[in-house]
Amino acid sequence: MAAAVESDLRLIELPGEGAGHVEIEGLAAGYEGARVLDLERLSIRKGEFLSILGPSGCGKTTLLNSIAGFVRPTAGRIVIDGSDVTDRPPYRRGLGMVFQNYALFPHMTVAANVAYGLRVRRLDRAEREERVREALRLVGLEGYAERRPKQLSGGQQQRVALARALAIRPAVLLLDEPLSNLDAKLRREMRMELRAIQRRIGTTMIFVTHDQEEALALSDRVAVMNGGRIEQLGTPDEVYRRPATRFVAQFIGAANVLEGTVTASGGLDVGGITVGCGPLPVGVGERAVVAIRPERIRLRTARTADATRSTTAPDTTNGPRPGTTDAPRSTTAPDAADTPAPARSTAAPDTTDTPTPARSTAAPDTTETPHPTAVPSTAETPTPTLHTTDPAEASPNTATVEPTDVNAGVEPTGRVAGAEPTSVNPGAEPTGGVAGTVGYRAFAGDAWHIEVRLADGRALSVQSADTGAGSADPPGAGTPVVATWDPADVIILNAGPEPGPDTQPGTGPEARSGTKPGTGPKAESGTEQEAGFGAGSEAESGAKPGAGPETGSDAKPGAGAG
Amino acid sequence: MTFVSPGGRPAPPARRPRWTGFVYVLPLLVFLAALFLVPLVRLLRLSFNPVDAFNAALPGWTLAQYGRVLTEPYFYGSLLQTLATALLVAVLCVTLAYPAAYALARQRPGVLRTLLFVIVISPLLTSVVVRTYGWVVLLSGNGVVNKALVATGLRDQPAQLLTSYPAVVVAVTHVLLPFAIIPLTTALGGQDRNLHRASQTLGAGPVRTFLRVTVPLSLPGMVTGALIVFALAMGIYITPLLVGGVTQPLTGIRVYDQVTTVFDYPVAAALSFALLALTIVSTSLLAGVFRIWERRLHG
Repeated sequence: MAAAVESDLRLIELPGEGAGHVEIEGLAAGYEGARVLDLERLSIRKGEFLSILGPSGCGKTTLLNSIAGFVRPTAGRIVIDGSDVTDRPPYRRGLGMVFQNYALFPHMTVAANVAYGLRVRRLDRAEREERVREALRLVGLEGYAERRPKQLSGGQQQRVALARALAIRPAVLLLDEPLSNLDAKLRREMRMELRAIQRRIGTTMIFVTHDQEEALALSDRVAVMNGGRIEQLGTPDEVYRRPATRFVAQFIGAANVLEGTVTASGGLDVGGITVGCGPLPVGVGERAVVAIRPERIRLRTARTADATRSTTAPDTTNGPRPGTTDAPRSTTAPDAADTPAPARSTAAPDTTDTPTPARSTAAPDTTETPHPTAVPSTAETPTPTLHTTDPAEASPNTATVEPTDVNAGVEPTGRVAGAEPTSVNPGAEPTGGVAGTVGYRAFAGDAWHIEVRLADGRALSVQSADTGAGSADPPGAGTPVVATWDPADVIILNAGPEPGPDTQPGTGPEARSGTKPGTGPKAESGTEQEAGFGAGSEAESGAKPGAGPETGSDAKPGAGAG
Repeated sequence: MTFVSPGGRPAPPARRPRWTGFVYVLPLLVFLAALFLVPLVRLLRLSFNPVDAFNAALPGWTLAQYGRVLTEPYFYGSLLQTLATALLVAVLCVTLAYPAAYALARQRPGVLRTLLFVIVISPLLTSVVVRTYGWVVLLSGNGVVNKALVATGLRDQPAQLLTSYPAVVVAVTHVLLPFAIIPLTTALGGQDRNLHRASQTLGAGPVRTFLRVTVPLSLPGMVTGALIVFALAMGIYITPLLVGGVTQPLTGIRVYDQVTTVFDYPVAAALSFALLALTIVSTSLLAGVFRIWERRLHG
């Protein structure tokens, strides 16, 4: 379909200069008293592809229907290209719309469907036919003009719906979850195609979806909605890397959100467990909320202790938790599988409670042998925060994690300054981490989904790219592991409590945060978060020079995947 | 009689051997055979019996009764009149039912909708005789309508409303109206709201959307309703009898007349079968025409 670019451009073009600019001000809408939409301001630029993303019931469809004119807002204005359309009926707004179920007229042929809006506009027959042909060519369905909708596949119906909406050359095209009825493969294809068409004809598109992957892959900007409000508006990159709120962090990319008190050593006391987070832009003793992406977490098998020991025993006794260095990342290690049971049991008892030295002792155990590369360097980073009390000294058998490419559409290159895995210096920098036990692991084709249970019962979700061949598969259920991450990957959400109904289960601090409902510290959190990032990157760049010898080897896999 | 189902789709082919399905309908078949088929066959036989001077049936076979039906205007005129009346009533019913069904279908589920639906189908819960007597009360010389006409000065004295043909058409239309509303409501209620929305976003106003989308898509419901009403109107006789009197030139009344006053059973039987044949033929024709129309529209 890309072949016909020129003629498409000629026929389906923007109606005029500056067309397609949508301004929404103070919009509120509600059904039967309940307010489902409450927007302060939303400005959609000309030619922009904006996704409205949110869970069901967040008001995204109501917003779209308000723009289309099917829902009458109780307050506010909608201005399209300078004219206020708030009180105009849908048929006088000149918008195009593609529906989730396509809504093709079953009693008309494909050509008649596409021509419908042109007939309404009383175009003469020659021009009508020409435009129908061009619209069908744009979506690659030239040969299907005389078919009936029910004779077409779902993907073809979708294209007809798109052609029908575009044939009238709308300034703005509204798309209501248009891809959600397609199967996964077709959805990806249509996504690409939709984006290509949008680029070609430059129509402003407002795309409603609950699928974050879709939104990130397609959009110039994403508006994340929750409870009728926009939680964050930004590029896919921004909303993914710098989520403004806890909701955004958890809705996009399913972040692990941790809330707790900052400890002197740069960790976060989340209620019994201290998680290493690196330097936080928050004073010691203050509350902080951070998020860590599942694909940013690396797992290493805790070899020496048996599962129950390593997880339960230490956390009650000594608060601080082991973040461990990430040096031994060598993917080779097949040790998880072959660790002999006896080795564990022998090693376990003594190591558990002893602090730092334990580590070094742990290393030499039988377990270490299989890794040629990683061994010594790991042991030597004794950051204060991370008491490596965990006997669990890690053997690097886990799959290394490569995050960004898992989520299609997020450009790996666009990473926040300082966050590149390559720049990490594990030797000089405290590394984030916590110990736990693998709850379950599931293979999802391109990635593994692993749930790590921490000592207090909360779960950490981890995602790691599949490296194939099974040798580097993540540890199975019941294996004690140490989850580590680069401090630069820690997303600082905000210091204050953030109201969120969908917080992690079973966490103590969450309950406290719930006491402050209805606060909308969005702007605050945004700035704060930026500050946090600045701090993080600074710290990191400072650390660089001191990189230990093993950083080079460490950096490689990250760089390769990034 | 072939009715077009609202969906217009044929039933999926059964996978089981045919005889198992037969077992399940056997009780019904026995019931129908005893109470419907046997009387029908006996009536058919009766229609071929000759009669004596006193119209009593004689043994033997003759086509004389059918000859009378087809040659005497008293009989074949009534057949034509019945056909015209049934068509008129079908058209009236669908026309009147459409707005009601539209309102009903657009109503959000709730108390009001349930109430409306009960109002629409409540006539079906009442005897035809009772409803028809309602019309007698309304239209009689002392009835509400005449009193209103006189009181408002539109007429000096009560009009002869009962026993008039228009009264028959009105009463029959009223009696059969629910049969048109129900399939239409189903057809209209089943329409995807997004189709109307799509039409509007393409620039079509309410009227155009109604004519180009709503009406064509409700066609199967209209057809079903019209066919049911037509078939019922062909055979109806109690209502026209009570409202219009025994002189109304409708076949049902003529049959009644032959049985109750002339006692010519064979000619009554022949007239009944002539009506049945006419109903089957005309309904099939109408269904065929509708089917073609629908196919041209819906592909």
